[in-house]
Amino acid sequence: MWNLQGNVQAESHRNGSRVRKLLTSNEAVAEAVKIAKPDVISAYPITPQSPIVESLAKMIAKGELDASFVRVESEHSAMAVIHGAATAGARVFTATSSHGLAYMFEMCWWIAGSRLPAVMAVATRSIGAPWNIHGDHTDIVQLRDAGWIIGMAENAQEAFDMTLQAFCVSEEVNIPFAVGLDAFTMSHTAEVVEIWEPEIPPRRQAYKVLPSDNFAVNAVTMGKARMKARYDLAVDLENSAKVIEKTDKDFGNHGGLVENYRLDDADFAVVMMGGWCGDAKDAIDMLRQEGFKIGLLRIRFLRPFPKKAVKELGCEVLVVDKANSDLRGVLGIEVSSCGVEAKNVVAGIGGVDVGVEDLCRIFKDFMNGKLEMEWYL
Amino acid sequence: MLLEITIYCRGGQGGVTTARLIATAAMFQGLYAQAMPQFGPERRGATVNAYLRISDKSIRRRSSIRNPYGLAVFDKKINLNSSAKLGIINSPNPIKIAEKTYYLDATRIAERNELVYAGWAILSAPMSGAMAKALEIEISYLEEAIYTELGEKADKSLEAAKEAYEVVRWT
Repeated sequence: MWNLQGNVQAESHRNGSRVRKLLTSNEAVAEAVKIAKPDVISAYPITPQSPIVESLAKMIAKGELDASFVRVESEHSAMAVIHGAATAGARVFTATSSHGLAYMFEMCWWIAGSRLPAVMAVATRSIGAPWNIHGDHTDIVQLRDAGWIIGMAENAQEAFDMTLQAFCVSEEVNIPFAVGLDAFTMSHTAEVVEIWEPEIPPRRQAYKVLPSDNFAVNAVTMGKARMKARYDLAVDLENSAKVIEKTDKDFGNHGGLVENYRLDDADFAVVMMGGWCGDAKDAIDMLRQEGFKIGLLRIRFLRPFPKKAVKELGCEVLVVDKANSDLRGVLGIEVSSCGVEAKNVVAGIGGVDVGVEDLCRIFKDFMNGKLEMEWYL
Repeated sequence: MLLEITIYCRGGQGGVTTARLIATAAMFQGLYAQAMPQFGPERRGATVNAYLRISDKSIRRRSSIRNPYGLAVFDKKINLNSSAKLGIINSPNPIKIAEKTYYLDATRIAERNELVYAGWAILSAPMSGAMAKALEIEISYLEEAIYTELGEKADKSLEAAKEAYEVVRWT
């Protein structure tokens, strides 16, 4: 009836030091965190992130991971614990989603402004009201201005690789790093992941403060001190692009700040980020077979934003967004800020299912000039 | 080739676990696979879906399955309107739900192997055995998958899956 020939290292799920496992993106993140050996983990449960920290708590209970898991009463405290532990020189991790990220928002600014390395996974989910537990990018885009590196994975393999890369990059540039993964379609979807165990260098950071030290940080600033600190963070965030690109080949070779998919000879480019880029690639392959010259620029990092790659597109551009500001999509605004005149569609808000057929329809309307700015409802 | 299967079950019957067992077995067989629960609150007794994709190439799409090639139905009382090519149903008698339907009394196999929780037969082992047969996944890979997913608690499930693999019939 069908012909499915196993072709992936048939009969073996081992490829050298790599082991193939069936994992959700949540589980893949937890596996990566375990390999990075954090000293302190603190989190408050929230759907759809909870399985990440539940897995880590289990690893600690079984003695597979030697870390302190600090249970707290809120996300605000979770980030405060991470902040304090990082100040003392601990490798730290937390995870959250949606309302949890909103609740810890203030502390996200403190940890970034304090220039402390930290890693947070965000299983990206809509924010109420009205109440909704499903996926979109409304939560993680709120982090744009706080001074974080923000990565967006496409699948469980990338969630795994990016989480490992996050510890290295964050600790080199002294900027916290958020790893985004789509709610449910990634967080709870099990797929084949190659697990490998790279050596993550020991924790390093610009400064640390121990209880025995006579040292105060973040006192009231006068004159230009705050502005200077903010400027330095912005410059270093820009420059972190080089570190991300340099370390990319050690962590899966996913393409650096962006992934170019079938863009070389394209007359039309779609710009998207997150898990649904997999569906977009399938849609693009189908449209290519029909003769349309279309490709995908997948945004892997919302911060630092890949301005150069966007400016170089040189063809007609459509941005498909999973988060809006006013009527416009947030990624649409980002792309427009690079001087690229782009059409913009907002879709998939609150977990509305957008399949390959839907994307084909949207892409065709765009190529036929029937699209300006709209919501795909 | 991409094979898309939708599992119809009731919350608590083990549909999501089944998707995961088959996906793991397919991976051991050298294929790519993806197992997705229905997104949203799962309630005991309510109809829930799980989605399963198997392919010889890496699977990129992650939207829901709209026109499945195959169906696995854990409770024959669940109403279906399908044009699927392949069906697997928990029923002692043949009930045609697809062009080719596999059927077995999965509930009895689960009960005989004491796979019962709070009065409910847990059908993941027998239904995964039947699905492995229907999807041409070797029983040894399913056994490995059950052991990987369930660990020390795997014994009864292994027996039930092997029995289902043997006794399932088709029409």
